Amino acid sequence: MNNLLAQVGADPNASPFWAAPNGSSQLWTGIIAALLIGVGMIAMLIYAPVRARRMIVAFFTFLAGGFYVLYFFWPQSIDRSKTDLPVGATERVTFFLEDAMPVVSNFTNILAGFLLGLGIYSLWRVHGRRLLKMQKDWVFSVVLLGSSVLMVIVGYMDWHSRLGVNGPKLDDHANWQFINYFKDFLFEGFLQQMDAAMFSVIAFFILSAAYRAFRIRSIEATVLLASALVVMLSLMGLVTNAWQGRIDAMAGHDPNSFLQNFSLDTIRTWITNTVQTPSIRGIDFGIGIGSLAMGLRLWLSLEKSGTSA
Amino acid sequence: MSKAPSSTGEKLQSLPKPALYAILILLTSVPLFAKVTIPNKESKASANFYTLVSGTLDPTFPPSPTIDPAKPVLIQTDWTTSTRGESAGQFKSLMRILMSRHIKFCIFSAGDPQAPQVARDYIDIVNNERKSHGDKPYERWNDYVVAGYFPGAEAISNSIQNNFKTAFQDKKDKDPNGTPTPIFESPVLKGVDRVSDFSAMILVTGSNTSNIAIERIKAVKLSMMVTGVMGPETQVYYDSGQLVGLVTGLKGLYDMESLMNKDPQFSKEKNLDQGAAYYPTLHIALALMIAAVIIGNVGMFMSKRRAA
Repeated sequence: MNNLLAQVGADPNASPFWAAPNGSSQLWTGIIAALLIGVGMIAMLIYAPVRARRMIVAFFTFLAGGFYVLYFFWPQSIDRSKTDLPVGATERVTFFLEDAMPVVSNFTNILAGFLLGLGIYSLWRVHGRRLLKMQKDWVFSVVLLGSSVLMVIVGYMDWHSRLGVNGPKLDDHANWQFINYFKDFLFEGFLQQMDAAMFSVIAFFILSAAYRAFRIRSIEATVLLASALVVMLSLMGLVTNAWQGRIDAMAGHDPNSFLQNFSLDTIRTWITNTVQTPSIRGIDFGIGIGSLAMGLRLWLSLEKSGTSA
Repeated sequence: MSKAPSSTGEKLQSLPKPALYAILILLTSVPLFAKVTIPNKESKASANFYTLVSGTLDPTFPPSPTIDPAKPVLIQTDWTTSTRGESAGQFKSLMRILMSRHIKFCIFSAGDPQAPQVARDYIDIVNNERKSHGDKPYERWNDYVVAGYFPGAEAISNSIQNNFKTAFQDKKDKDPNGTPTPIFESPVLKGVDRVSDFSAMILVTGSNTSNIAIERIKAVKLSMMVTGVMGPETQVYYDSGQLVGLVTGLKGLYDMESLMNKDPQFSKEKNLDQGAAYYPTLHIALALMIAAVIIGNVGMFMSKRRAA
């Protein structure tokens, strides 16, 4: 089991089961076998009776969750070196769990890949149907489907052009070909700019919301407004400099003077460290306990919603 | 149809949204056309970060740790373009310092699959700057490696702390021949066996991966560059001494750029860049927000007085 899951076993020179050399027949055999097994298992799951399906899902959920539960709760090594050998049963389990973690993480990656595939299939189905039936807003579906196909093709061609000995030369823009510029245009010129533009829209909402909602209607609102004002002012170098200059002058440039407590930075630090962060921690604790309860329910398959299909 | 505001108080409380947006666009565009220099006093957290990576001790602050330039630095980059206003500038300033001091580094991400590519794009930008002033560009594989994306920030942070070599064992980057090769065969990670073999670990992030890392990684000097939103949550770790230095938001970035600008060892670098360009915009936006809040409250009090 250790050799099967671990990337590095007792013999560091032995070829790990999950890491066949690039382009080797061993790798291709592994990929085809995994694909066949995967398709077979999905087919089995589809045709299995509902009761059996539930049990299979529950078993694998428990197995997968069990690994992470063990990994987090089992005593862990500290700053372990590759040449360290385990002493005793506890350390043997520790080393096994740690060595297996990269492989199990890759399983997670592969599962996420399947989920991505499922998401893409669903998206294509919905928008493809809308396009074929020329339903309302079918033009947007054309844009979505067209841009996704274009991005996949151009991204793949760019990736392919970077393989081999000429790949590193493309790190220098002077050696770029049309396809590299085109991919850069789509990724940097379009996708990332739109991403940033969407994020920057928040500035308008914040300004509008602050103008309409920040009113001194109660003591609580006044405290909130005063705190926000101090934090905002402390981010303005122009204001903090002028304020600090005044405090320094009044304190006779004594860094230990009581008046230094009234510098904007000190007040802001007090607000964030003493009031804001403990509040966030309180919320985090609540979320943590909720997540733990939910995680336990999912791990033990007590959570029925979403598993009955 | 809503009644049109009649009194001054009501008018002050109901400024139209398009007008507010237009003012915001106009005012924040000013620094694009006019150079505005903001006076600045660097924070201790930024100065400590700067001392760590640059090796320059600032006489205005107590001495703080520095990195060993002979050892590589581990960089976790978890930002993408959504926070590039702050994170890109922070990342560029970090790259300028490390490249200028010929310090090797290994980059990975645990926050976003896009992050390694975004980081590579900005390394290219800094490399082009180096070429423009006649310096040798930093070479992938020989000077730095990109270990890519790790799903599950909690698990990878645990693995880095406990068993770095195994955690990064199957990661590859392209060697000078373009062949994907295990990163441990690169000159960057030569002699690296565990995380304590790095001179420091630096996180550049716009998300809560900062908290995840600090809760787990203890075997190496840890330092961070975070966005303004993540600042308050992260500041406590700096105050408690768990972080060697901390750069927070645009203010932190401007601190870094100001410190680089004063340091003769970076005289060739483009020191005053994104921080110097965006800091005045932040000032204007904050001033506008404060003004909007004051106007709204004045309007409310005027209306109340009139009603009474």
